[in-house]
Amino acid sequence: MSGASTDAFIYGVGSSNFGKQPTTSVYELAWQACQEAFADAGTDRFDAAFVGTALGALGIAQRLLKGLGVVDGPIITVENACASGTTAYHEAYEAIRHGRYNKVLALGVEQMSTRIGGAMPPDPIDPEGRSGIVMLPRYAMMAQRYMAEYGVPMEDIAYVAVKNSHNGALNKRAQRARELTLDEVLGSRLVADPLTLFQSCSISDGAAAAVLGAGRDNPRDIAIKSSALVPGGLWDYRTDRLLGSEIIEHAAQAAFELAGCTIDDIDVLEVHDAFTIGEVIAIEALGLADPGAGPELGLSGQTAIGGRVPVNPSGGLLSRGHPLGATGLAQVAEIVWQLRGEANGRQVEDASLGLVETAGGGVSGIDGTGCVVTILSRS
Amino acid sequence: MESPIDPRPRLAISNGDWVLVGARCPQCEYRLAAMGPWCPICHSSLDAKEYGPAGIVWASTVLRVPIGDYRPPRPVAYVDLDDGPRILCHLEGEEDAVPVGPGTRVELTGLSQQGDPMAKVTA
Repeated sequence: MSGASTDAFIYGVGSSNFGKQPTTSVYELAWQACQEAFADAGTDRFDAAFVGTALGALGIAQRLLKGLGVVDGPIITVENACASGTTAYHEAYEAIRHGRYNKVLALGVEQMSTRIGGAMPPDPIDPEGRSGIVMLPRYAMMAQRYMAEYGVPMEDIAYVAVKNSHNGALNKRAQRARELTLDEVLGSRLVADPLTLFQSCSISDGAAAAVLGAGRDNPRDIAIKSSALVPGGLWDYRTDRLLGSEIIEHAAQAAFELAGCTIDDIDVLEVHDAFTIGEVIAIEALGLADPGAGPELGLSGQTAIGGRVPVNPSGGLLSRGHPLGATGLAQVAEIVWQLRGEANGRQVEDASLGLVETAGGGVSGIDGTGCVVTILSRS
Repeated sequence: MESPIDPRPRLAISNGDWVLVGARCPQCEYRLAAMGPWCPICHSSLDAKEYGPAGIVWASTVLRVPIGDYRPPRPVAYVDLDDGPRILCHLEGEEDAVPVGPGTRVELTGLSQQGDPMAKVTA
């Protein structure tokens, strides 16, 4: 959008632990994330709050924030499937950029374990959902198609889970904080050919928050170089592109153009690895690797912590778990910690420019509900 | 309460074959699996149009975990009907089902007991 003039910054971030926590209330999860973010930002008063949640009920944002008693302005709940949290963040960013608000809270939250046992339930008003289809079989079909198109073996795609589990084992807030071998990943239960259990993210509970504001000359603040939110186009018989590929590419193009940089400038990334193939699709769509060459980037160590361009140093969704609305802001928090040098035990050396990508899915016939790509920089 | 309106692709028998009752845009020739308010590409009025029964697998998988009311194993595929839209089909398959590869020829065989479009491999 043109006409904006205010630079936007992240003052502070916070996050609850992620994992199945049915005995921790959704309030507690949100309060933990908010109080950490407020302390980190040095402020607990806001002009507005944007709250991302995919499954939250009527008034959920107001219920969560009531206890904190800190919001004096409008409270706006946004839903964008898996990208709900990053969409809340994006709207907070746009509000500051356009001068509508000076200081905004972005919160993502989801409690799934108390309402979902086993896999995500399908949506009965969706044509494919009514047929018992959720993201798992969709990603499985993308993996099959990818392997057939590029001749890449399953173990090369599965290696994403090995790399991310190594990182996740260094992340105390992660749900699946254990390093996995390739044999363990491939030998875990087959859930939808060719994907195995450890190539799939977990149902999870969690919250993450970021405080955004206009410039205040604080060297700890992280500059938002750009953020782009794009909708998914029709996905149908006309395309052989994998689901998620074009929407991520479009969001990345918009974010890079606005930031005035390219993928070659990025030092560290958090991308949407809901399934192993998801990270492969994402890094290729972002331009890190040519089509078909994404898995090789992981196998050669280039996307590991200490590699040329680390991807998902937090352990990603595969390790952290995927409480839908919370995920995007957890990704933002990780990049903020990385850029400040505060990512204890999993720090990427000398990272000055970072990227977050979150892609929402679950609506049949489109390339995603929405995708956010944001580029963050040390001040 | 689950909606009584079934959003899944509608199949019917035409000249002895199972076909998809979809739609087509007479202006830009965009093909749809179901009637809509207008063509989502050019906003022209749509015509009803039957597609199938033959098509080709774009990708497939076999679900090994229960999802909703559906029990595994469950082979499913995105099928590009010949000169038609891409739809999600359940595939006729046995207990030891293995995924059908992209490019495999299939044809519509009706509806499953649960009301899902079904297809089987023909070649």
